[in-house]
Amino acid sequence: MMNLDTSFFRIIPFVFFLFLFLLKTANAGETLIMGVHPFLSPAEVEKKFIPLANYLSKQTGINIEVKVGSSYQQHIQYVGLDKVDIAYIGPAAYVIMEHQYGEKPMLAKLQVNGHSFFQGNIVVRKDSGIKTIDALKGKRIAFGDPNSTMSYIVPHDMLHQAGVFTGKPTAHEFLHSHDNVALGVLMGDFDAGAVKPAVFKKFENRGLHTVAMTPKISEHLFVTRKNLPQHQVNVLRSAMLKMNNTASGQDALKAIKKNVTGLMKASSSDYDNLRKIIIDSKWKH
Amino acid sequence: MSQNSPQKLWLGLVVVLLVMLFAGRYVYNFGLENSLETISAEFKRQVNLNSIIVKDRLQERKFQLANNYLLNLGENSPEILEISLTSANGFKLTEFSRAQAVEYELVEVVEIPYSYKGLAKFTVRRSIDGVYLKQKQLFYLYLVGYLLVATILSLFVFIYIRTHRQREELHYENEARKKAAIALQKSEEHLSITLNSIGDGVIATDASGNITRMNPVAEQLTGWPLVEAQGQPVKHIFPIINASTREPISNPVEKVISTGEVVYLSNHTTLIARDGTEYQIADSAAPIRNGDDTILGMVLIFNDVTEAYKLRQQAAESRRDLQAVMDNSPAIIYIKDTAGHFMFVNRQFEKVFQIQLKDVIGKKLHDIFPQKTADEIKQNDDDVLQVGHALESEERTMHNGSIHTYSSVKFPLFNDEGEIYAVCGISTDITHNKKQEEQLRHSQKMDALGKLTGGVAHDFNNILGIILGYAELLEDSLKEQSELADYAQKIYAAGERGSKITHKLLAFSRQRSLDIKRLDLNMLLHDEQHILEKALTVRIKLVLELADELWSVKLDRGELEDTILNLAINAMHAMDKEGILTIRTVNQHLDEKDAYRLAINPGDYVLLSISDTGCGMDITTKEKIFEPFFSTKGESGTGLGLSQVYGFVERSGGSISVYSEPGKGTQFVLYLPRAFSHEANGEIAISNENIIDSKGNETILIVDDEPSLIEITSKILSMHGYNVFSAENGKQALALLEQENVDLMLSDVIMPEMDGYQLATIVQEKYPSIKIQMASGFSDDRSTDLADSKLHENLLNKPLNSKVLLHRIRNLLDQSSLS
Repeated sequence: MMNLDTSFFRIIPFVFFLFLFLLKTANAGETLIMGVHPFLSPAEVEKKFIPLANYLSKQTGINIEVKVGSSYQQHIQYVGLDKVDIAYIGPAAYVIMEHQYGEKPMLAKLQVNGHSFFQGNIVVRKDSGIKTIDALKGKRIAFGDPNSTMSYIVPHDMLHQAGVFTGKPTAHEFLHSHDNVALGVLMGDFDAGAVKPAVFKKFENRGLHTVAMTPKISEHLFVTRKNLPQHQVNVLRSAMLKMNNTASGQDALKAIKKNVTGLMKASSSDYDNLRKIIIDSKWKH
Repeated sequence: MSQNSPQKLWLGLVVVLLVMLFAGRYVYNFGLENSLETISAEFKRQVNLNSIIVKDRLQERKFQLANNYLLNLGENSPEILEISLTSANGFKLTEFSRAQAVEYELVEVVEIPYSYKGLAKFTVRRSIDGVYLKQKQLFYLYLVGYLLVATILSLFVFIYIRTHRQREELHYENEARKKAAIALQKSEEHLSITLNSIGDGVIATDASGNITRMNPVAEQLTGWPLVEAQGQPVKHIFPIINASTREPISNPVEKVISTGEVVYLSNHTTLIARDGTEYQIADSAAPIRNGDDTILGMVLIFNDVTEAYKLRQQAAESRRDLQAVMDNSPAIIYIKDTAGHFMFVNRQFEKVFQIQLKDVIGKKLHDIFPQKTADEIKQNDDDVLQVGHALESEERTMHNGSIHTYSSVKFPLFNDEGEIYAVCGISTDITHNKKQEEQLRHSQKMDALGKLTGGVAHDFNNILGIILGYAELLEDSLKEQSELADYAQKIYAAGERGSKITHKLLAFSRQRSLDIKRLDLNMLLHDEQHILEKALTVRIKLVLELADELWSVKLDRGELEDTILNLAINAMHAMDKEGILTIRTVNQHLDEKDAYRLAINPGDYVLLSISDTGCGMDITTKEKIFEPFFSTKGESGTGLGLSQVYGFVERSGGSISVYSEPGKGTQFVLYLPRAFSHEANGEIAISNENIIDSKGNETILIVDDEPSLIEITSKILSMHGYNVFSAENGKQALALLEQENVDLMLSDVIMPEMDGYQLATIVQEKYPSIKIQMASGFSDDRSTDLADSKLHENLLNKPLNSKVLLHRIRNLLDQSSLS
């Protein structure tokens, strides 16, 4: 339940975004909107995706602008309602969006460090004596954000599948960030936690230990609105899949994240395991 | 204020400053402690506050936020040195540290109960150097203020003391000034007395050159009393001119005042007094300076040196005259100190020895002359120094390529103490005089020898005349008795031989009569060449080098031939083996100098040179060769050959020189006077006497101081029909002439009291018709100027040959009768 002040401030960017969207729709065929979820501040996100938009505009002749969503939920909603022409979206968000609004044409998915998938770490303190996830029964477990793929959804499903939450009561708490999860474990407030590999690496030297890895989940992906003309979808997909072949394409990818090494063809089946976790899991909403 | 007051003031100031210093130190310490307490309390409060914040974060499980907060706190708080947050299990959530060296710090540890797990330990360490620094800065600021105050106070005390001291000094100065004024007055009096007592004139001026002071001597010399001169320019009161040029001299006052130097006037300065009187003065001018070296004026000191100037002028003139005398003296003049160093030499010295005065001064004899010469001269100098009075000596030195003889007078020079300080020498070159003396001595010797020889020859001639006369008579008388006549002939022949000897002797003594003719010497030599070559034999080669257009000479040919033959034969004897005899002739004009050297008259001469390649002669031999009876040939020589040559040349008005050195041959050079074309041939009408009929009946007077000759001559003439009277001297002859008529007088030349020419002169005057025939063994020039020159030219040489006598008398009587 949000209070009035917060609601007001959340509405302002939405109204602004809507205004731009309507303006753009009036000029359809001239400029496409690429929507991105707010994993950083809007300015930082724009900075990361404008090189990509410019690159694609140049390669396809289609003018593309970057817009950042005010929240993950809003982003899912806008993508689902085809309010953006192109969308960059995380795998969990995509599965949820698909489940709610239906399938969208896929352009490509990220390849990070040569891999098109990623995993999460179940961590404990080195001196905790815990060697397997089975030993986590009845322990205090820290997660990040409830909507986070690797700090909650996938590891929670994994622990659930392993029966950690059966029998002894197990307490868990959302600490909102992967770093907090790691620090909570190290501080001794929690016996285990779920973090992404980068955070584990960050705190490994300070006494963090991995007891288990989560299943592999396909990377973030680009989709289009459902009614985007096919030739534009084709042109855009073709340009994305060739990005790694040119220096300017690589530069545009590195701008998104330093370790992005390319874009690969994506299909809906790539997200089946995740889809199963989110949609079919018992804790599904 | 008493004398101790400044010290007390300074002491009080020091006490105040010390109190301020200690008070400052106390305040500093107090402030520092207070600040430390404050900062410590504040630090603790802040740490506690932060611990609350951290606790909230931790409890909200916002570990990262807590960590970031603390790191941010550390980064933004420069004084924070360390922040650490350690969980109950020992995990260090936050570790912040700042690498900074500090001296002072605070540490605060707070335990935070954030979890059921236990307490987190929150530690903060911060630097408090800033507090100390701030306090130090405050203290330094205080010190600066302290020093400023101390300086101001010190300055105040200093100024106060100084002002007080100046007042005291002013007081003392006033006292001292009064004393100084009194002293100055005394000094002024003393100065006036001193000035007035100075024997020299003293004038003082101010810086403008106007007179301020004069002493009585200055008043007297300038003619200006001080009261009138005071304030006037010094050049008006003290006009000076150059004594020599009479040109005004610039007054020294301006130079002295402008340059500050002491100025000395020259010795030729004349002061013109007010009344026109002139004084020769010597003076100097010097600046008057005060203690700061500032020129206040000038002081001029002068004195009357008129008398001294005159004396100096006279001395200078004397010195100049003496210098002129010495420089123009033909003698060499020099002065040497007692150690032998030259102090002076005159120009003649410089000229003779080709050395300049500056190169001689300070040198010794041995620096200038060869060892032997220097030794000789030095010995003479030493003798003078030893005896202490003038000495004369002869000294020889080499210059201009020959040895010169000097007659030197040397005398010591004495200083005022009567000590010898130098030797002065005056040396006259007497080389020429010595040579002349030698020539004169030689000439006198030869003259004496000539006179002696002539006298002997004259007597012998008379004797030979008697012998020859009687021998002739005897021979005539014994014609019938051939054996006896032969004896008489032998006597006559012996007399003839004796006559030839006397002839040679007379030739040397220049008393023989000459058969003078004008000759071409080259022709004569060509004529005689054959005879000479015969005489020289084939061993000796004769070379004639005869000049073209040779001048004529006027000589007795026979004697010239004898001379050439004599010299040639002597040369042959000087050449042991083969040799060359060279005869040269050449014209030469002798100027006065050359003629003087040869003791003959200047003019044109024909030189006859006869040179051989023989053994030559040494000096001793060369000096004696012309003396009669001197011979180098021993028994084989008569010693009359060269003396005959000498007599011949001398009688001919010429000169003879000999050049010879042992081993280098000998050269005789005869200077024979030129015969000019206008001169008579001089050939005397004495031809070969022919024996003709010489008998007569005229009356003949025979005058001769030798009775035997009168007797034999009378007999010869009487035998040939003449009437004969005789007289033994002129007086008898004149007396007899007054009584008898005489047709011819035959007179000897050399007679006592009245000689033959004197007698002939009187006879010619009194009895012009009487013919006169002179006869003599001499040919000297006596009385020839009195008599008719023909008498001399017709002179008969003794001893008389009877045939010649009769022929000459007959010719003369006939000639006169024809005329």
